[in-house]
Amino acid sequence: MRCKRIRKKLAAYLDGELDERQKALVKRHLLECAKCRKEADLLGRISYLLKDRPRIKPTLSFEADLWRRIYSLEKEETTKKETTLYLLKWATYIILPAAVAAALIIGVFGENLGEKIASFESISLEEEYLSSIGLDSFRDFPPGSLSQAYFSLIEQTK
Amino acid sequence: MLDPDSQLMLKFKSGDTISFEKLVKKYKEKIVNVIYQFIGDKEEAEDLAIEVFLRVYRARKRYKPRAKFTTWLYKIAANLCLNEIRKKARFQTVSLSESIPSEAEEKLMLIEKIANSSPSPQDILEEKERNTLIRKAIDSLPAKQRIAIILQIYEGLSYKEISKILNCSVKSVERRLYRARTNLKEKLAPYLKGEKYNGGF
Ligand SMILES: [Zn+2]
Repeated sequence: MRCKRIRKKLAAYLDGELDERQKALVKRHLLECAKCRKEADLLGRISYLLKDRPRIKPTLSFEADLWRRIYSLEKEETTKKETTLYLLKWATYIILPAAVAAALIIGVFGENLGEKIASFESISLEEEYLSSIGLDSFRDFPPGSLSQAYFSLIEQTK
Repeated sequence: MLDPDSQLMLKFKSGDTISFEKLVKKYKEKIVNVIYQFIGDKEEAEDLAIEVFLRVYRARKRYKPRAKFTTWLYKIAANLCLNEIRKKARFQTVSLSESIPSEAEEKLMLIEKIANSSPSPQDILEEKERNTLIRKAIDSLPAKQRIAIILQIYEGLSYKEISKILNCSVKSVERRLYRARTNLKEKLAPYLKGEKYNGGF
């Protein structure tokens, strides 16, 4: 019974994770009990075997591959934004005339309301749309950094 | 006081990409190796490690230094590893009908390989055989036991750190590591004798 309880603590004992009281308890038991001592020895050997496994090195292209993934991710997000703006633009083609028609019907067509609608349609959306397609936002990487080098490479290949 | 890595992450959050590059440089090898020990395939390990840093990149704007940076980083890696295992398990149930070499067949293949490779020294083969067996033993562990023992043995993390990474109590980390060792003990029995090992206590 006592051995069973001690054995559950052996891994933590070997990993140095027991408090002082428990540590002393396990240690005292191990000095008296050959079977548990053998078990502790086996557990220690497992850690030793596992620790001995070969480690690998990341390939030389690790960072370049990462930046390539980041670049395509950013591009994907830009495309999403672009699509949303497209939808918005088309929505205004439908909604605006409808609003104008509604205004006409209700008869609140004031003198400068028509001008306001026209200018809104032609300027603001167009500008926002154009700036969202560009890759300007990626250019602010610090000079000399890997990311900056990577983006300038991509720009050149375009 | 914030750890220096969290400070780098905060700098990255405010737009300094060089800080991100520093973090990648510092931790890529660790992360590749943790995943490699878990998955057992070099290429896959590197792909997943890239995915880990991609997630760090994407999370920069939401980043809040609640724990040590490495705890957060290992957590991302551990979650990816666990997801990967789940994906593979699903795939395996589908393709189970395909012929997978039985254990006996594999042993025979190994014996044949040893018999046919005359010039290479015996101990190199023994090491290969041993590595295969250890790999298999690690693979046979339930995913959470596996990740816990990898973090403990290869990264030297404390039970408390592992509990934060796996979102569980210290007690359950202790239980997992105890069970992992019990499972490994059976599978590695042939290699637990006669190793050059000088005791752990
Ligand atoms: Zn005992």
